[in-house]
Amino acid sequence: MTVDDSKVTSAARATGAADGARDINVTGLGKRYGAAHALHDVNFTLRDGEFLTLLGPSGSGKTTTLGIIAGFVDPDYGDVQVGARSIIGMPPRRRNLGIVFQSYALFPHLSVAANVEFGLRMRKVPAAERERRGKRMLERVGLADFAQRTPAQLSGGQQQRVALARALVINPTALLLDEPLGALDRRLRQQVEIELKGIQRETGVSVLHVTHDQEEAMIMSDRMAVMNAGRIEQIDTPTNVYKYPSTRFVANFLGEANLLDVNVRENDGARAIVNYADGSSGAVHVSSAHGTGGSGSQGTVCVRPERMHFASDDEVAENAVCGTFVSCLYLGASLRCIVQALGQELIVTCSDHAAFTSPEPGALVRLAWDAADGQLLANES
Amino acid sequence: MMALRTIGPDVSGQSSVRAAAVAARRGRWGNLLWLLPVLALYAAGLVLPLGITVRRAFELGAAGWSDLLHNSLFTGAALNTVIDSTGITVVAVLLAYSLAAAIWRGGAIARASLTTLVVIAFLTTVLVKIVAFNALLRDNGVLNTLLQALGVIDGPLHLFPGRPAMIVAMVQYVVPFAIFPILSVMVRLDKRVEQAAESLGASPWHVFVHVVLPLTLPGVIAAALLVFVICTGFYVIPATLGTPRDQLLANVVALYALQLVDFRVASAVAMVLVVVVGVLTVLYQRAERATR
Ligand SMILES: Nc1ncnc2c1ncn2[C@@H]1O[C@H](COP(=O)(O)OP(=O)(O)OP(=O)(O)O)[C@@H](O)[C@H]1O
Ligand SMILES: [Mg+2]
Repeated sequence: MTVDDSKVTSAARATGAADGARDINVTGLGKRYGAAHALHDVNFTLRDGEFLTLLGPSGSGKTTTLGIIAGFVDPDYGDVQVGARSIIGMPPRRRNLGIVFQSYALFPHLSVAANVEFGLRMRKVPAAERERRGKRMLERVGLADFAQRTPAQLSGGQQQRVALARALVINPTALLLDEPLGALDRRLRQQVEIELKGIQRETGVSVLHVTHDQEEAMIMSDRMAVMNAGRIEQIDTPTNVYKYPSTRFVANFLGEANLLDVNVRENDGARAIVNYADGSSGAVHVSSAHGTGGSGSQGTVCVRPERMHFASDDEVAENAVCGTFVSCLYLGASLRCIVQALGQELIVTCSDHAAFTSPEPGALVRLAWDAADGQLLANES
Repeated sequence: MMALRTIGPDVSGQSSVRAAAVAARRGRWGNLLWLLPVLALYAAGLVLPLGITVRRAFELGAAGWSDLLHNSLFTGAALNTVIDSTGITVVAVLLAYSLAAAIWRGGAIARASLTTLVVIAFLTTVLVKIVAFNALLRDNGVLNTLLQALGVIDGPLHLFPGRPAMIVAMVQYVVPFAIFPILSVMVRLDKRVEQAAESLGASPWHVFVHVVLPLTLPGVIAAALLVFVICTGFYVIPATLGTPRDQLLANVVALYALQLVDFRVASAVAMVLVVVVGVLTVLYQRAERATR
């Protein structure tokens, strides 16, 4: 709850700040490599002060999108604007964007201090001010004592922070991060995630962050855009993307999902009445704003494993199906049960409380879920 | 934190590292056996004559060495060698750098054709090149005929035999050698480092001066040392394209050994060359290692 609230306020502050003059608007972006479409009509806005993550599997076009915004890749069509001004064709050096690569790409022949001051030197900032700002930025990332070392003398995590300081010191319009945590081990990564988010809050800089790690995206982002095969499938807050996935891909990519084939009987765009494979009818939420079938069409309903529960025979439920209990795994904080129903294996997770006793394998069980917890997905195009 | 991160690989890796070291040691001795014929060849063809050279050179005695240092044939050739080698090194490395950059940055076609040209130049024997330069640069050669036909000059330019022809041929000979160490450093540069510099506001010139040049410098140093070493050994090109005044140290060695049949002086001059080349080779190997 508290996490949600803080995200809302920071997003609100962000949009209110400068009436969109520092927003980065990406419209209709496309890029082809030979016959292969790397990007397909990509649209989004990086709002001023926002932490937006591009999340997607390998090869989905995240780096290409970032490269086009940074100016390293020319798009075949589409536009990138800062405020109302297009920056297509502008050389990277004039775009004033801070970039951090997965490989950090520090200047190996320069000291940490000289690395951080590089952007200021290029901007002809006087030496005294340059040193002062460089030093302050190194303090902010906790590396003040390492100023005279070379990058090779730092650990991976420290190099990552130098790269961040180097990108931040120029007061960029936005920070573009291409899997900046990809080279760190898990424990360090979680620590840096929190640090990075803290620095972003403090400085109020907009961040466009690229990752294929869903946990990382959930923890850090104000909003996230889920990419697949060169398209953005859904863009929303992490909570909404998880709770209300709009496509099969998003439902599967983010956490676990039970995907049920249904016949749509009624669909008013917000709520739908559907028939499951066993003929039973139920009510579900329509999560996608567009692309769901009307009455009589085939569709898919997504139900998260933790939103299904075992129900007694007399319990009244908006959705209920019968099945056979298969197995149950004890995971410490939760239990992960598998039930054969509707011609497929359904996953049900429930928290480990004393009241729950696992049925015997082969036992008949009844699964139920609320209408709000079933999502009718957009049809595949 | 760093300790934590290294525990895994260290503990599990230690025994396998040791096993690999043992295997490597056994492999090294095994390899030596195969090397025996080559070693025998080197012992007979290089170490033995070198030993004889050193002994002969010392037979010269203090007075002989002092004479040598006042011998204008030697001092002149030594001066020529230093001046020519330095000049050629500077010019050749500059040319090689731009060529390497063109290969590195060029499109697929430019890259393939330039590489082919370099390899052809590299593999063409020096005698063929000499004949070609002769045809090109002599008084009634291609260049002079062309310039006269165009009315640029009245009489022929005396380029051959002489320093101009010699220098051009030597530069042409060493450029391919200089390209490889430079190119090998360039291709290993991380494109993202340059992109990072660009994104921080660096113009193409600044990217070159502040990033590309410092990072390719090890290759430049290695190339320069290599070219210099090759230059100190030039014999055929000065002998065929230069006048007697343009001769280098190797030609003086040949003069004493083959024409004046004074092996002691020949050995002494040769030893000077060997020492200079030896020191430069050690430096080159250091520099070359730094490029990896
Ligand atoms: N320079 C290029 N030439 C040809 N194809 C390219 C090039 N760069 C990217 N691609 C292709 O474009 C598609 C998108 O690549 P991109 O690097 O944007 O993916 P990504 O989402 O960043 O993946 P990853 O998570 O692996 O980094 C891929 O199919 C890739 O093969
Ligand atoms: Mg990528």
